[in-house]
Amino acid sequence: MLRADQVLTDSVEMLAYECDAYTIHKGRPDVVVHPESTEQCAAVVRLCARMGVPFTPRGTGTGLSGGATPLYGGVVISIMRMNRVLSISPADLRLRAQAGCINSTITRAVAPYGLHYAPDPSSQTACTVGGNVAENASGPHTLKYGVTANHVTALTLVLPDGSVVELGSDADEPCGYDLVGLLVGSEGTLGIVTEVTVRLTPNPREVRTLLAVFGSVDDASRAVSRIIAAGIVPCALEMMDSMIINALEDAFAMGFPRDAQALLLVELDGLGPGLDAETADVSDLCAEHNARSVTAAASEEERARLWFARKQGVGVLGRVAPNKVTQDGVIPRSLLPEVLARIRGIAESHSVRLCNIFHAGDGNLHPCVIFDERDADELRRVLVANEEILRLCVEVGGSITGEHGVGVEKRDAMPLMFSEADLAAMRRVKSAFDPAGLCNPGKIIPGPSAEAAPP
Amino acid sequence: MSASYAPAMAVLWPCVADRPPAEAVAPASRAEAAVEVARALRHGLGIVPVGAGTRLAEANLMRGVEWLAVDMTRMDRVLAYSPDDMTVVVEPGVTAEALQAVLAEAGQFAALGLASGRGETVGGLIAANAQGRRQCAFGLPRDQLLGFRAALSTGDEVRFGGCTVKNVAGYDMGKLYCGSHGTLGLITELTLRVRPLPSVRSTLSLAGPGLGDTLSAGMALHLARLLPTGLVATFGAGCALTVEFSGSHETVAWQLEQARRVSAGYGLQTEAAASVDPSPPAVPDPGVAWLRAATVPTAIEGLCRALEPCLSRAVAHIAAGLVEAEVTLAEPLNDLERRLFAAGCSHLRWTRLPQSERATRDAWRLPAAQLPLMRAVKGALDPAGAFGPGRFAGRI
Ligand SMILES: Cc1cc2nc3c(=O)[nH]c(=O)nc-3n(C[C@H](O)[C@H](O)[C@H](O)COP(=O)(O)OP(=O)(O)OC[C@H]3O[C@@H](n4cnc5c(N)ncnc54)[C@H](O)[C@@H]3O)c2cc1C
Repeated sequence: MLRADQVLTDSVEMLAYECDAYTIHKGRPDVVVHPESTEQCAAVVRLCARMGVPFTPRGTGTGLSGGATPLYGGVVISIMRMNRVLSISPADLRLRAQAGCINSTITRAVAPYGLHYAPDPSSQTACTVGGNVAENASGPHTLKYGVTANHVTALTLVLPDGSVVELGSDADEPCGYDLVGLLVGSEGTLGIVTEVTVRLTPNPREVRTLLAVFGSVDDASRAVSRIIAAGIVPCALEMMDSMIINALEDAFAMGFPRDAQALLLVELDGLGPGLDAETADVSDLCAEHNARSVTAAASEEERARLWFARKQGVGVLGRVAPNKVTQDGVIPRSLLPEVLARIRGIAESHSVRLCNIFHAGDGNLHPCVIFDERDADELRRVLVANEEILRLCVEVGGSITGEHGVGVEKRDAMPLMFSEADLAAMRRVKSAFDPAGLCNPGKIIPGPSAEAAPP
Repeated sequence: MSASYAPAMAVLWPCVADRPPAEAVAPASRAEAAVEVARALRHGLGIVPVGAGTRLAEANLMRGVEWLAVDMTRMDRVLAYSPDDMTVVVEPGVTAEALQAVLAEAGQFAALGLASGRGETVGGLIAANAQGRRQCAFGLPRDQLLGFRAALSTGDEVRFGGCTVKNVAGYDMGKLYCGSHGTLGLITELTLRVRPLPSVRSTLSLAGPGLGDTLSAGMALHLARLLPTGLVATFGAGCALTVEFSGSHETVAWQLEQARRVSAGYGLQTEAAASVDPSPPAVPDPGVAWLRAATVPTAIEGLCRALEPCLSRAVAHIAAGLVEAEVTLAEPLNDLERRLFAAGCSHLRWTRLPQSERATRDAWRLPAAQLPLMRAVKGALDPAGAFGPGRFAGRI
């Protein structure tokens, strides 16, 4: 079925598979396998089904909610080696790839056609498109171009009984129940995706990238609300606060003012005509909200540098403290100033170190708490503060997660958003795909099904 | 107690089932809707939600089932609208036109088709996942829905999704309900994303010399990397190519100029009167059928050629890869299906069939391998099998 080099059983080698980038929960796999084709993957799943062994799909393990953590042991099925682009049709704006294909590989493959793959998580040079499908991942440019769910038209799925089914088609329009739509964001609990057809996006003709420097987070968040309310749709609208600014300065000497309290990175794109006027409007709105300066990237290099800073902004915190938890709550965007202030209050009241680097334009917060997990009291305070922040997001009409998924991390927070009847319906959908409950057990849905998962 | 339905609806019943409903009700609130669903379940009745009725004929005919028609048009309120968040919460019976009027006051719109003048309800557009020519720019109704409530045959009212533009908490059930044609539950509330209204919308309509040139010009426009908010070729009495641009004055003017230049090479210089996308009538005409064939842009011309022998009129959404056509019954529909699939059709739906065909032909033509999963999903969300039994793909 598999060659020896596709199977890991050594406990040291398997350490890396005990969790994803959310390290608070861990689980020890009994075996890790690296299938190289849909058939191999299906054969492994069939074996698991026959033996009643739980299995957990895994991409490259960059997930931030413990989705790929084998909570109940069993087999970790890593899709990483299935990493090829299979076909490209530029005129139809379609590309088909194996699920283990790295996100940025897709964009590189279609660059010669002037196209790109729009969902651009900060982890795009490391994460897989299968992982993106599982988490419904998104990125800065989601604000204008949409999330993974808006860019996937077909999937090859290995069902939890080991059978293989093709869902969707090359066409935009789904047919019958939109099973592709259901699978996107299902966090590897309904089967293993082995191939994906994605929609490609033409590169914009013109791009303007602005960096606005603010002396207060409040001013920056009011500027964000005003830009959105003015009917301007930037392609990205990102905020970073002072702890991030200083961490970036320490690491890369970007040249950001260390005493700034917030940076807004605003990008506008389009065909050209009218773009400068729109950029000027954004600039004016920032100035009206007391921006200390607003500068436009003068060259492609400068633009790339700003985006480098944004995409390194979370990773760089590794230099500040050994551990971090990145939260992912979403709020109605008009409430940004108020909610950010309340989150600051929560952090202060529990004495936790918290910073913000997030997709301001769509209200997707990433309060990032840094800590040292060896300090039991700090860890406890971090978890309490985390929970309060989630409650706050839900209380103001938002969500506990905008892009990182529920996984194991937020599973027990699901009742904040959903009634028992809602969760029961989700459990029935899960059972429709996975009656034996072997596929990534213990994720997303709390309660009966999680408890009834295999020992 | 819910009021009864408008008698005019009676003409629609043959589109739904082989018999008139045992009863028809029109609840005015979520609470009343829940009462009606519970009552139907108690009496073992099938349940069919009805909006304006314009797309009831798209799903299969329900046979041998005593049923309750639930007219949703009295649940027509806009419940909460937050222009700054660009989200709106509505009852499903609000008409798209009424909703757009409310949104327009704040300079916004919901990407839910063009004004049709037929009183289509928002719930109906979501349940049919129906979009018009703006699909290429804004996606389908599935891409606008953020959250919803539904009354299920378990007796529960559930709520999925949320009210923010990003949210991945739990399964994305909304995707299943879009296009479900009322077969997974009674949608009682919807939260949608809205967008800023463009300052200008402008349409260029060109009369084409023939199918080939019109589609070639359309394809050239598709490849020209402009940002049309509609790109359709219409066939029937003549050929026309229509392209719509929206945005600021500058970008629209610039794109119109580019579009004229691109299309000029194909002999389409004459500016024609704006074409109207043909749309099928609520009650099917005898002697014709309507289909919706999905594909990719490069296969559009092949599909149109395959349709030619029996084509009476059609609209090809070039960038969205979709052909909607009215066809004569000059040849067996099986032959036409075969030709379409040979030409690269991914899947198709018969959106109007003559009564003679409805009993025997599934309105959905999709790969049979997907049906067991769809049946399982139906069983999970409509465990009592109460909502439009037999109406969906594969007579689910
Ligand atoms: C520094 C950093 C920055 C990040 N930035 C972003 C961001 O901007 N936006 C964002 O959305 N996310 C971000 N993430 C989170 C993460 O990168 C995404 O969730 C990504 O989609 C995970 O992909 P992966 O291949 O690493 O999947 P994994 O972590 O391996 O798995 C994630 C989940 O998907 C399932 N899964 C994986 N592959 C498959 C498959 N083939 N079939 C079925 N299920 C599968 C797993 O079981 C698990 O539940 C970031 C993470 C890091 C570490």
